Amino acid sequence: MTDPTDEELLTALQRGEEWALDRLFRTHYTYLCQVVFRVLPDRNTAEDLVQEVFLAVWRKRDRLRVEQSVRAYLRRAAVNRTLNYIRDQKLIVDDETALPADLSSSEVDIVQQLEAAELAQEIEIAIAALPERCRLIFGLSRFEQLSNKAIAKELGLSIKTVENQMTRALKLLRDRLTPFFFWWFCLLTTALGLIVSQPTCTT
Amino acid sequence: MKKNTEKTVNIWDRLRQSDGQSAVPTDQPWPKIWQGAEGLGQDFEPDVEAGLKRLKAKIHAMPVAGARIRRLTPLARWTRTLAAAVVAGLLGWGIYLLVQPATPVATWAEITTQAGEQKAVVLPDGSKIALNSASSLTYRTDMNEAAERQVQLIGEAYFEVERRPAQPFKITTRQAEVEVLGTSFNVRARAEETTTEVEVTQGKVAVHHLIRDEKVVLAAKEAVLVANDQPLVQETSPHLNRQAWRTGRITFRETPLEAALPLLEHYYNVTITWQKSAAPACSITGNWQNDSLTEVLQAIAAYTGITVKQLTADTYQLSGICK
Repeated sequence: MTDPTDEELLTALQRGEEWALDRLFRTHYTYLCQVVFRVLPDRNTAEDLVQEVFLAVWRKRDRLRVEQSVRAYLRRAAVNRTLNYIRDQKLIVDDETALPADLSSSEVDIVQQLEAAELAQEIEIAIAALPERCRLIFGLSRFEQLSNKAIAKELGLSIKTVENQMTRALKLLRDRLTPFFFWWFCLLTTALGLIVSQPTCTT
Repeated sequence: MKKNTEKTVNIWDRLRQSDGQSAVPTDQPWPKIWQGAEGLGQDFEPDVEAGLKRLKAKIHAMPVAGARIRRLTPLARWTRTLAAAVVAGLLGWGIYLLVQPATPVATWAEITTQAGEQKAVVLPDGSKIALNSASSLTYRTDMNEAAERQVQLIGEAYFEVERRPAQPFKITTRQAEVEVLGTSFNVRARAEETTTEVEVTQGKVAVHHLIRDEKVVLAAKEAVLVANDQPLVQETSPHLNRQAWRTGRITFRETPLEAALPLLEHYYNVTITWQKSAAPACSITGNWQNDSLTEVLQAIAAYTGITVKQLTADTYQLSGICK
């Protein structure tokens, strides 16, 4: 027996057949939770928001309009809910005058931490360490690929606020990760025996 | 500096528009950061089956295990609340009516337990409730859409509230209003008692004394007693056996026998008499988990040296002198 197609699932759902909902849930729940979690790094809230997506799908099953794939539709619904949540909870307040904070204070002893770790993991850690407002905006930019303008519109913020937070996020990431990129580069080139007299790599 | 920032933002925008494919000068970290973020969050593996169960509970909004539901019209609900308040002769009922927000369009469902009966209930929002005997829980059936998840309690229940920061969970008793976002705790508001007691297992709980308009926030392992016209009494350590009805665990630590017996009477629904023959103070220590009353009394007899005699099916007599 082959798996039912999206279309068959939707038809069954519209008839009020719960197995179709179960099927959709089991197929897409983890993916959707991860989509939300990447923007909003709180496991419970991510699950709650995805639960609401499925609840809404069930409630309005008879007037569901799915024009793309079901997965894309659910993803869009989950992202919209996340945006609404960020806006309603005022997780980012509109504050145009806020200047990027002093960035030097976040310089921790990162080089030591970095030596043993892999690049991608370090980037994840650096992203997770961003201040919450920066983190949310960065997530929307990176994973939902929304422009600053679109983020501002969706969250009801001024574009200046979004730009400030985005600039801050990028700078914090760069400052945290630059020593690592540098070290990594040196290690690589040293291992290849390509440089002997690179004076800047002696630290 | 300014120029540098602009450059950063521009490169990022190019990456964003090209999904990381745009060519960028190799001395810039952005492509690596873009790439390195790819796997973020993919180690988050939610419990799919638990999630599905939770969703089903919300969809069906039904209590489990055949609990009896009676739907009350708003009028019947208020009559009932009012009658209960008057019968109990409460000073605070007027204030209660004032404080309780009127929600005339909401529909309510009631779940009740008889004496000696307990029920497990799952509310529409997925919150789990263990309802102790001779208790009544009324909840808004549309709580998922409401700004607040409201329930009313007469009796005793243990709550495991689904975490929803945007929708506070509110329990109203005759004396108190208990507000949480998501946590586990016990509420005891017996019809025959003029107090409400809240004991927190996990998380934070806000308790509002409706009659005196006082508020307190409890953390885990804290309890508070709300009495009709008394100030709030916060207790640093919870009652040892307050949740015995749910956990099946009874604990005594140097507990005077006079204090232990009423608890056993209540828990096992029996009558225990004790003929104190000018005995010295008698205290007991021990733990029991789902044990029969006979086992508990035998242990007490062995510990104290007093004699236990069963008179009828639910009457016991203790006699003798403590060692």
